[in-house]
Amino acid sequence: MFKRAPRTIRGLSLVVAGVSCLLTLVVGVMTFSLVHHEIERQLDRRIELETQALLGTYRRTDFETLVREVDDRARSAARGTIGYLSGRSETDSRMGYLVVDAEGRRRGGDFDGAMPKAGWSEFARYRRPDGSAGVAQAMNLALDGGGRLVVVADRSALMAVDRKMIRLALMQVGLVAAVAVLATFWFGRVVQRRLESIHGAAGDIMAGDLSRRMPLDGSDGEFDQLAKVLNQMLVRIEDLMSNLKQVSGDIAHDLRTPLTRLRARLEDLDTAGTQAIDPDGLEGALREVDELQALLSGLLALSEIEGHSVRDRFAPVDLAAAIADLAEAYEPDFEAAGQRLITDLALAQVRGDRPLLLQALSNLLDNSLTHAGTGAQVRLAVSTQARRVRIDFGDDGPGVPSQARERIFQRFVRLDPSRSAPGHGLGLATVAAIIEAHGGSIRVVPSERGLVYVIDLPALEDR
Amino acid sequence: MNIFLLEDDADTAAFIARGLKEKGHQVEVAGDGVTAITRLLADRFDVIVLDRMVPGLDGLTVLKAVRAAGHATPVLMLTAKSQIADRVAGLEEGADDYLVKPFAFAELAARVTALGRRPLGSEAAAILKVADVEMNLLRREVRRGGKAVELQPREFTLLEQLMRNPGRVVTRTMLLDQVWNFGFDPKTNIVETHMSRLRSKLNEGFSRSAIRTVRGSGYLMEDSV
Repeated sequence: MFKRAPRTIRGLSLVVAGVSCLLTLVVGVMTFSLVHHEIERQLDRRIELETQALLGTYRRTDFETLVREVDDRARSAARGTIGYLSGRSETDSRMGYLVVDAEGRRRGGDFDGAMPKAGWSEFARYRRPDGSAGVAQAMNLALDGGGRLVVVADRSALMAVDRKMIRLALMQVGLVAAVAVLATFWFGRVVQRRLESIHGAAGDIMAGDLSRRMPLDGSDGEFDQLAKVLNQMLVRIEDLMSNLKQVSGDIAHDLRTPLTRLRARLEDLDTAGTQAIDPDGLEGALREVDELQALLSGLLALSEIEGHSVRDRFAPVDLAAAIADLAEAYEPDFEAAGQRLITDLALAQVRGDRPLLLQALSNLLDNSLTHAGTGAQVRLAVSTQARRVRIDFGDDGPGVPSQARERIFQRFVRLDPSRSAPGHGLGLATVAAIIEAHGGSIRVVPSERGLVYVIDLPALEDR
Repeated sequence: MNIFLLEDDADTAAFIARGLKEKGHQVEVAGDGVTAITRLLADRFDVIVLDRMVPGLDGLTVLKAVRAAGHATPVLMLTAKSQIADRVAGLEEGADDYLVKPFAFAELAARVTALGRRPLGSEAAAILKVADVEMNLLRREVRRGGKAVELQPREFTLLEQLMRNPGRVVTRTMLLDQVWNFGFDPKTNIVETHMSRLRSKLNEGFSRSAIRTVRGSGYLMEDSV
């Protein structure tokens, strides 16, 4: 049923204003009819009382006494308060009387108007003593011995109250309508201004300015919170976009070298002809292809991890046991490299992807094997503290220059200037992406000797 | 063996088919999923190789259809996507093995061969015997020529994988999967170092090496001396 409800601010304000007016009008009408009927009942009651009293007199005595009594009452100064209401002037709330005998002659009273019909009548017209025209409520009763008694009460007081109430009701409706329209219009302006600023920012972003953010007014209201969430989303989008740009650039750059070498080798083989294919040349070409493949799959894996889709597969991982397996697998390599791997594994459970976590640590181990040099000691410790898992990894090799500490986690960054060592500079970028996908962080800790990392991961919550 | 191959790229399909035929297998190739399902439900094959990404019905759908029809034929999935997510999906749908494209042909051949002899029930045997090497899986003992050889647990598992595939090449990546189950390929030569330790223990006092290295493919234990 709300499908047809207005969706624009203008439409909404009109609906709110209309409904408010309608409600005020309904309340006004109800009040009016309640008050009107109450006063009318008071009028009628007054007439009834007067009639009862006069009839009492008539029954106790005779027609002539009734006529005198009616004349007395008509002349009385104190007559005519109608219940708790009084008119502005004496005539507004006066009562009138009329006694007619069996032959229809007017015998007593001061009612100067046409004879009202028998029984109750409203709006009986008559002329008041001061000569002005009046409207009265009238009761016309037949007397037992012939003749009629008429008692009337002037309606001026009631009509004055009615007019006042109608004026009041109209004023109320007008006021409510004005306030409702102004309030909704003002509210609409506020909403519209915020929406327009968001609109504008969104337009700029669509036009390519990814650094643009939604404006905040610091009120921490609903709009500010919406803007904050949108801004967080924009930060993430910007990160992903800049990643994408960087990756495309990097790939183009890093593919060129092996492709050039591959082409050269294949040209060599081509010119050599079929009679003397050099097996070394073939093997070299295959190696180049393998390297290209490794680079591509490394990049693909990295972007998959950075896209966080890997989180779908997260499950509880016994990190200590997994690292123990890894260390065991690496032990012979460390021995062969003349290095020592020391592990200190306390119970540690995280939520994550076991292969990825192991790959991260494996990359670090590979780096130490390649760069720490003979005789180096590599330390790998895991501990849990206050719902955080901490992995300390360090070697006492040559380490990295302090100004390079931030840079080493970027992709394609290789500190070896000759670029002679194998690899594409994706190892540590992958490590950082894996840890980040697990909701953790990795940093290089300044140390006197070697390269020391601290990895922080959220511990598995007890269920 | 009778091998079925679903591969939409004609060059790759021809290359794989030629290589497998040279190894003495019959190969039937389909280029799309619908043909593949029709053929697979009509005939029995020893091994099915499915490319994950083909136009129309993809490899995963074909795999589901084959398994739904109650065929237990071993299936090797080929996938060009990044390995992690696809491998999980493929194995969940009932693939027996997977291989990420691009791959070396030797790797594919070794895996197809290993899958082809899987249903022989050798997994249940308590004692494996290849040439003069004997392995007791219950007592976890290894003897060569009657002489006991002391092995580390990892070396034992490594040897077990080779002995379950007598006369067939077991590749480095197959061993990484089966022995270490890391789910990724570490850059270090874990397989090589463990293999060299295993070899030196096995070969001590013998002139002939029990394990042969096949250049560019993997390792092999010859069934006959």
